[in-house]
Amino acid sequence: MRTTGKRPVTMLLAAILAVWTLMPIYWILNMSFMHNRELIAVPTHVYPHQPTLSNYVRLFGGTAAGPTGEKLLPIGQGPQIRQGLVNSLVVAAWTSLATLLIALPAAYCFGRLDFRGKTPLLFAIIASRSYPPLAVMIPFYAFFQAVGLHGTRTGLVIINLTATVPTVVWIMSGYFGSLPATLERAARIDGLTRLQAFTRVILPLARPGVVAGALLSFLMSWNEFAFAWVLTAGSKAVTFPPALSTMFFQISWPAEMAAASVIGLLPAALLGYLFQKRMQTLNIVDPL
Amino acid sequence: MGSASIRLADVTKQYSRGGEVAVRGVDLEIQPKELLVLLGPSGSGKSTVLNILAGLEEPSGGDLFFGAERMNGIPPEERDISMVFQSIALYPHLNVEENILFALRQRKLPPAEQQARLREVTGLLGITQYLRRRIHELSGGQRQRVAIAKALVKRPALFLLDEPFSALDAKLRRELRSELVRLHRQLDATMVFVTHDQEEAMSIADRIAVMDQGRLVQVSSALDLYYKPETVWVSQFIGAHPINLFRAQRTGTDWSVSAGTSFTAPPPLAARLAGAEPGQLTLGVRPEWIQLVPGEHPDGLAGEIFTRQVLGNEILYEVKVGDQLLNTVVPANILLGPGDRVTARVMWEQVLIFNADSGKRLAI
Repeated sequence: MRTTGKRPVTMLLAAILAVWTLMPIYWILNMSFMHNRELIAVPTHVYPHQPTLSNYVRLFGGTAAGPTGEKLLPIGQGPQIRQGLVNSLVVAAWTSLATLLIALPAAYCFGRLDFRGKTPLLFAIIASRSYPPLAVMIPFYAFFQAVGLHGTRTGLVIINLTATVPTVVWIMSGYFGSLPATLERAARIDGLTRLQAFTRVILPLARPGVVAGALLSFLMSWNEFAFAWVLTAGSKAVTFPPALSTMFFQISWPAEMAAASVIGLLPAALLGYLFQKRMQTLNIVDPL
Repeated sequence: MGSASIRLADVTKQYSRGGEVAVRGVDLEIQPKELLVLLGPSGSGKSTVLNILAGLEEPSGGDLFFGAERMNGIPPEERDISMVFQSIALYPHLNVEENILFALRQRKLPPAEQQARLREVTGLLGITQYLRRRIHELSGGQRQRVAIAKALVKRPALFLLDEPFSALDAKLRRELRSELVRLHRQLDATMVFVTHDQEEAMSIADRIAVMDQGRLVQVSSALDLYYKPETVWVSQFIGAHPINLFRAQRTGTDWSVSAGTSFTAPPPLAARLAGAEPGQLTLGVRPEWIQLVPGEHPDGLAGEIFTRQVLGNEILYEVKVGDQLLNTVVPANILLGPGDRVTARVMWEQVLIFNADSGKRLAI
C-alpha cells in the first residue's frame, strides 16, 4: 500500500474534517459538565473549569450541590427523558430485528435468483424511499387512529420498517449478489436445501453485511423524529427524540439539555463502536 | 456404491424459450467405476451436462437415469454425488476440517466414523497438517486438494469434477492429475471430469466424450480419439500439435493430392484410396507421421525449414512446401535451421482419410 496517508496535505485535510465533525459533539459534552452559571461566562470557557456531574445526576432524579453549595433539585423533565430512552431502545431493537427477518430473505431473492419482474420490483421497493416521509404522515395518522396503533411502540416499529426494509433490501441484495455462486452450488451438493444453504452458508458469509444492516436500521429508528413526534409525543410510547424536543419547548437550562443530548448520543455511539470490529469484511477466498 | 450405470437419454438444455440451446440430444452412458472425461471447447455444453448430472440444472428435454431410477427433478441434495469446482467452493468461514466434514455432519454420521474418514482422505491427499487452517491461508493447490478430499469423504456414487485444475499452474496441474488417476484406481469410483484441455483429457480418461456446440461428437478411448477420430473437427481438436490437412481428388483413374504442391497419390495411399468413392477427400496427417530428411530426394515432398520449436526430446518444424506449411515433429537428433532444404516423407499408411463434404472419416 502506498503511504499517501502520511502526506502533509492529506493529514491537514483529515484534521479539518475531524474537527468539523467532532467539534459540535465536543461542545455538547463540554456544556453538559458545566453548571448553568459557568455556561454564560464571558469569555466562553472551552473546557469546564468546575466540572460537574450534577446535570446527569439530576436528570436521573437525584439531587446535587450547586457551585456555591446550594441544593439543586431533580430536573422536571427527567422522567420523560428516561421513558423516551427505554422506548427508543425497545422500538429500535424490534425495528432492526424485524428488518433483518423481512429484508434478508427478500434481498437474497433479489441478489441471487432470477425471476420475472425482478428489476421493476426492486425499483418499486427502492422508489418507496424516494418521496418525503411526511407525505404519508396524514394517512398513517388517520389509519393508526382507526386501528388503535396511535401512541403505541408497535405502530412506530411498523412506520420505521417502511424506511429500513427498502434500505436494507437494497444494500443486502448487492451484497448477496457479490458472493460467489459456486459456494451455494457446493452447499447444495453437500446436501443442503436452498433454505439451509441460505441460513448456513450464505448468511454466515454475509455477516458483515447483516451487522451493517442491523446497525443501520437501529440508527434509523433511533434517530426517527417526525413520525415519533406526531404519533407518540405526550403518550406513554414517547421515544427519545420527541421527549428531548419537548424538553426544549419547556423552560430548560442549556446545560441540562446538553446532558440529555449526550445521553441520547451514547447508545448509538456505543453500538457503532462494538459492531465496528464485526463489520470488517470476511476474506472471501480468491479463486486463484 | 457406484455399481449402477448412469445414463443420459436424448438430453437437451435450452436456458430460455427461443434462447440458446446449450445441449442438443445427448445420449451417453457412464459405466460404473469409469473415469469419463467430457471434453470440448468453451461453450460446447460440457459443463451444462455436468450440472444436469449434479441436479444443479434441469434438462429441458430427455431423461437422466441413475441405474433404473429416473433423476429428472430430483434436487442435488437428494442425489448421491459430490462435486469439485474450478473455483471457490470451499466455505471461507470454516476451517479445512470443518469444510471436509461439512457434508458428513449434514448427514449426521457418527463422529467416530467422521474422524476415521477424515483421517483416510487427508492421508490420501497429504493435507493432514492443514486441518486447522482457514481456506484463505492455503495455496491454490492445497485448496483443490482440500476440495477433492471434501468430495471423496462422502463416498458418493458419482464424482463430478468441473475443470478442477484449470486455475493451477502447469506443473501442479500434472501432479494433481496423476494423483486423481491414482485415487480413481484405489477407490473404484465413478468419475465424470470436465475439461477443455485435450492433453488433460487424454492423460486421465478411461473414455473421452467429445462435445461441440452442444452435441456429443465422439465417445471413445484416448487412443481411438487420436488414431480414429470420427470427423475432421475431432482430428483437429485432439493432439498437442496441429494436424496437417491435405486435399485429394480423383483425376481419371488416379488420385491427386494437394499438399502445397500437387502430385499423384503414392502407391501406399493409392492402394487405400482404391476403394473410395470418387469425390473430394481430406487427408489428415499428424505431425509425427512425417519424416524429415536433409537435402532433396525424389521420394518425398521437397521443401525448406520455416520455423523450429525445440520441445525437448523432439523438435517441431514448420516446413514450407509450395504454398503450404507442414507441421512436423521429429526426434531431436535431426537438427535443422530455417532455410535448410529438406525432404518430407509422409507415412501414407497412417494418414486419416475423411470425406471432404461431410467431414466424416472413411474406414479405409
